[in-house]
Amino acid sequence: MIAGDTDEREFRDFVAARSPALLRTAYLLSGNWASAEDLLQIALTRTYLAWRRLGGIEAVEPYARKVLVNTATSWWRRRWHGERPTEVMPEPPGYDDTDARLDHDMLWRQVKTLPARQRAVLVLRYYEDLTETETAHLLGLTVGTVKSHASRALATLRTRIAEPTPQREGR
Amino acid sequence: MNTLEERLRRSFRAQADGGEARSPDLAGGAIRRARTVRRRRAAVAACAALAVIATGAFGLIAHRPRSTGTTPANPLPTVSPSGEPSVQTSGTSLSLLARHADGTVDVVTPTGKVVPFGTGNVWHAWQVPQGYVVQTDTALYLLGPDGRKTRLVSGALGVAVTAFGKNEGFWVAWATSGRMALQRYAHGQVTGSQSTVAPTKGYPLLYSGKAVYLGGTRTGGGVDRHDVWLPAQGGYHDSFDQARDVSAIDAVLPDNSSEPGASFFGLTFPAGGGKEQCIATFDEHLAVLSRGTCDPAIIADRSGRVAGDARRVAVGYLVNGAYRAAVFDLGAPVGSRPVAVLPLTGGWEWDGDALVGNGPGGDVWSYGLDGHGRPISTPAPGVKYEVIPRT
Repeated sequence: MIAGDTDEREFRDFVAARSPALLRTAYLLSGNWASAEDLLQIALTRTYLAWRRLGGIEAVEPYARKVLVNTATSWWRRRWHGERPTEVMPEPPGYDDTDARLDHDMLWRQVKTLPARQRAVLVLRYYEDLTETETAHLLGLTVGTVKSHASRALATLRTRIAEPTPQREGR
Repeated sequence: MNTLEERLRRSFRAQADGGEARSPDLAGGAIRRARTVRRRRAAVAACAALAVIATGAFGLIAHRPRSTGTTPANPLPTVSPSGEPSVQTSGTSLSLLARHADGTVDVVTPTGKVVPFGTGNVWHAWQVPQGYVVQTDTALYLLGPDGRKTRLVSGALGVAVTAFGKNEGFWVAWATSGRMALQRYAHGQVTGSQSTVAPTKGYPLLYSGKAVYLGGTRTGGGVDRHDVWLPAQGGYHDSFDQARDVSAIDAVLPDNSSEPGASFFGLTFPAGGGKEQCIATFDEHLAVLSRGTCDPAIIADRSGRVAGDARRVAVGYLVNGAYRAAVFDLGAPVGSRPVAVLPLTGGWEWDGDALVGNGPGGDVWSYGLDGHGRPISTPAPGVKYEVIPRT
């Protein structure tokens, strides 16, 4: 019981310290705050379940982040394959208007349309500032695949926002 | 530095820092869910062990010719060997949620028809006139009897569902991280809508037709904060923690309740103080209207359900450390004992005069108040059945 209490106290300390940062990453992965909070809740639940197995506090955040990213990409797969389009009831306007306020950023709007893995690679590389190797480890991909995802994502964004490809010197 | 990469960094920072997510008690929520997962894992392990032991015996009963008189009066629901989407009817008027080991979820209607929901982490389901409202960890759906699945809202953190009229429609209240909404659905479309700011300390859990009951948690160990939103009076204003007589709000009272102004059934504390739980009715402001009997064995875990006669209630009850369902008469005087104590362990719902829910082995049983029970579902490998509550 005492060990359980200690676990719970340490877990609460971890959540208090790191959940804002994890929530921001979840938002960038999911595209809206409501899904981000669901995503984070799942990641934290799984982290708590694995708390003792993780051993040290240094292993906790990478684990939580890995669950976050992998759950985000699996959600996308589930939504893509699992729902049937219907025309009877449109989704009602019960959305978080914070999302709407932030959605004026054209580049962000295009990022949200990217496939989940490509978006995850961009978030980890350009928001989390992870290296290609770290990104590959987190996503369970090879470094080559990470490079490929990043390259395709950037190319798609360049096309969609009509940004000219950087010119090489001497051309 | 590539221009696009730099723009991406700026865009990500602006997006992530610009929001004002209203996070609830994240640690408490995660701990609570983790405990639920652990309990489920333990229950699955126990069921698996029981199934190994009991497979032979149940198989004999299930396949015995009906003329022997040993088979239950109503055939047990068993998935058709042909794979047809039907299950033998079990004699209950309630629908069941079937969770399969492969992650798929079905609804089994009272006629035995199997309505596939698909895969998804299903938290709750409610029966409504148009079918079933199903809440997953990502969205809220309406599942029609024909299998048509319509997404009602994404990312709902709390959901309350209440039917109205005679097979007319239903209300749904929910909250996302920013807004709380109440919508009326009838004849396949949205026929009314109202929204307000989301509560920061809880979520919608019940809707009485006048009041949206909001529950929250301080400790992560259960719902211990209470509030209401009265849509007819406009937007929501936080008044959590002012309903000091509330121990738990369990259910909406049926329309035929004889008590004027009564909206909810729940638990309160003894009038003279003490730690016993007392069955009670509450008005739409969560003020105690009537206080019934008190009993130290009653558990405040929001498992209470009210029968259609608006008099009998079933609540969680501890007997020698074992979890049971106890039935009380709402009008019985203080000091009254339970009308019945039944070996159900959770997820119960009234079916006329019977209480239907999960038994100790995880299967669904129906019990009369005389204590006589009959199985509604058999222990099928890889399938777990739950009762879907009516609204």
